[in-house]
Amino acid sequence: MRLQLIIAGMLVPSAARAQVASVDVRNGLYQDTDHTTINTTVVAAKASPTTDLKVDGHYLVDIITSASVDVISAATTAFHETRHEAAGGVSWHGLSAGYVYSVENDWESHTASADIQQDFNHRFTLSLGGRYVANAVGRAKDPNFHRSLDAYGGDVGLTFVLSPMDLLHLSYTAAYLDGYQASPYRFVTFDKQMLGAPETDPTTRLRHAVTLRWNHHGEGDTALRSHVRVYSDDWGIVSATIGTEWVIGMGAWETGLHVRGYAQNGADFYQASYTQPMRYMTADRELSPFIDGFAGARLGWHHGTASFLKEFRFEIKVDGFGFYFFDFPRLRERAGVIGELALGVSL
Amino acid sequence: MLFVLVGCQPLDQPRSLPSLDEPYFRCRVQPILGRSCAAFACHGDGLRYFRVFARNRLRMTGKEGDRNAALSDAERAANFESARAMIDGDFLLRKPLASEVGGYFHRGAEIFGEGNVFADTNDPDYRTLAAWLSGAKEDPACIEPGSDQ
Amino acid sequence: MTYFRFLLLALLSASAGCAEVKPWQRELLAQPKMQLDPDPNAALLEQHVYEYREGSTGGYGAGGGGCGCN
Repeated sequence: MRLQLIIAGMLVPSAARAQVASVDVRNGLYQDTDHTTINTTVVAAKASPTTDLKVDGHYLVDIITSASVDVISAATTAFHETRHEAAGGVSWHGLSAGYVYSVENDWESHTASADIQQDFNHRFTLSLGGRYVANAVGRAKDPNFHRSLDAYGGDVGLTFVLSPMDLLHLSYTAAYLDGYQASPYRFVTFDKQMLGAPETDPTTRLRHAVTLRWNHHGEGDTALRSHVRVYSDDWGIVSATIGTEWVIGMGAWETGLHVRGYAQNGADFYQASYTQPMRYMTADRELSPFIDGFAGARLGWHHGTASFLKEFRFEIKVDGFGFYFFDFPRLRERAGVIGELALGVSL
Repeated sequence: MLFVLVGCQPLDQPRSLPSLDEPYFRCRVQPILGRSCAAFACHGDGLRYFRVFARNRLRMTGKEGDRNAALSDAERAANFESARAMIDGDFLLRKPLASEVGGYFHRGAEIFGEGNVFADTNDPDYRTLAAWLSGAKEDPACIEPGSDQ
Repeated sequence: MTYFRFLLLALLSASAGCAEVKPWQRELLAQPKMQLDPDPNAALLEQHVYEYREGSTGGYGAGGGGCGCN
């Protein structure tokens, strides 16, 4: 009899344990005027077996079809590619750790991360994090092309409670990359007629970013979520990002209007066309000077119930964007749209 | 607000490509490129990063009736620079080499279904290319095959 | 050096502006819309697009896996 009571007690969740779980699915479709389409689906789940312990995981798949100028310039046809990503994480008492595995036909990646958070007298929270990424770089259909790229990252963040309606977060992120960072598919062009050469990037890169985020709760059920980031690296790239989202709650509905702007200069060794062979040469338009802007809106709905399924939710989101490249003759502008649909339940 | 980390050397520095023998290229390497690489559907295509000028193939200028004329000095120089620029990543040797013996993927081998240019590293033409990249020299008075000399 | 002075100034200003907000005053701060990352999945897709298409990275969490997106 005693044994049966003990077993029954183990099977029935105790009052001290939290059994919260959720599953969310989000699908996004990206389409731009550079003939690139990306369909991304992510399925994520998280659970709290106890009040202190949280586990989470996600599976993501990117399906990419592109006939971008990068591809056409190399005199090849459009490519189709699928990337798979699986991740898992655990957090307990302010400590968290995670792992991400990502694979596509020419790239395999393992990411390990760890973070710690500590609250100081309910006035501010300090967070520290570290990250290591091991990448194996290949070339599609090329079993004899093997390169590696390691990345080491760290970040420190401070979150301040400025008032009952204001939260401020300041963070610094650094990353060091060591290995192959060029593209095996890209070639640079020379002013001299009829000459091209493979792209060669530096094998190391040190990156820094400082980000300030401010969330302000406004009148009624509204909030303004703003951010600004300054970035620089030792390739000579300096960039600024600024954005804001105005969120309006309307009972079970919530809508958000957001806008984001970005500007960067070019890498020190970037040239649209080279006059002579250089130690480093790139045809990567993401290393050229450009600006971009994103703007969009989202509409979400959530409904709580007293049943086994505690909450349903869905969200629809649409963004439009435009890029202008100041020194990339093959593609002066690029525009596009991103549409997302998300569904989720909490148990 | 700039994070400026000064590296050991500026990144935008010129670089000198290896000094390779021009007579050896003109008399031994260029004929290989002309017969094995310069078809219009292959590297005799003006859109290619690695472009090869050859008689009856891609030309820099001229009328259609002159397509079979001997290469001009400018075309020879362009072929030399194109081949030399492909040294990075061993493209010149490994692209036309069968993948079974360490070559890179070569779309030409795939789309024409006849295998890659060099089946193995014992191919005489492969060894000629490799010798050139290793610094082999030729008599400057050598006669270029297909020239008017 | 100028950059680090700016960072220190921002830190001091922010900490000086901190109010002691009692737990019963944090109702608004606890709302999902006031969280830094109320929807990690949305942030994952969003940051993925930006990192695919821009030369910068970092500062927003939302760590995804590595990719040949270069």
